[in-house]
Amino acid sequence: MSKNLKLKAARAAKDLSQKQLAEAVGVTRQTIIAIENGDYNPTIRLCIDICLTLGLTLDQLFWEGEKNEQVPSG
Amino acid sequence: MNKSHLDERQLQKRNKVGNQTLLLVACLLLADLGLQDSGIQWLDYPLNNYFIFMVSIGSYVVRIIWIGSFTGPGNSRNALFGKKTLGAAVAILVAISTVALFLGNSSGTTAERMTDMWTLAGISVLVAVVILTVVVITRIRNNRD
Repeated sequence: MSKNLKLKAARAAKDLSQKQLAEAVGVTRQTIIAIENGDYNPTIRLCIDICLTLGLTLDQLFWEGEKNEQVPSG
Repeated sequence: MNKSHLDERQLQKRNKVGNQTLLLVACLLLADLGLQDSGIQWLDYPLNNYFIFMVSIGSYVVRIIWIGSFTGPGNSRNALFGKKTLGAAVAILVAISTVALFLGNSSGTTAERMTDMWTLAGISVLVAVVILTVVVITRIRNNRD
């Protein structure tokens, strides 16, 4: 799994530390570190909580567009 | 999400470690049975079972502390202190009960019983030292910015 730099950038833009974001969504700091480093794949529930805290959408934070995007045929 | 409980990553990791510990206990007990069947007495009963128990539970505790799945995200310092104190008290109680039970049930001369008791104490102290070392290393690692 690749690093989630979008989450890291969004967190920095909101001037939040990993600890502050972790407290806001009710997880440990180690969990946020693991998500940012791509070591842990969060559940949709946690993804939504992170998105609500950072004021962004799931697409903006977690969608890996270039890799998975396919043009529908027909 | 209830902050006093483990978060989803912690639960996932702890479950994985728990399953692996169960397999470890099963393998160690089977190996012990096999060795005894072959006539190899590597440690007298019940010390062999105590050793297997301590290795398995010790490795479980060490691993969940190492991966940060021992306490949940919302535990305050006071609650953590209370939990640790309670855990230490229970551990001491279990250790005393085990030694008392062992001395009450074991046969042989006083010298043999004393040797066994020291072995028992040695295993317990070794596991305790490993767990404490991991706690200290983990605290240092987690406080690093």
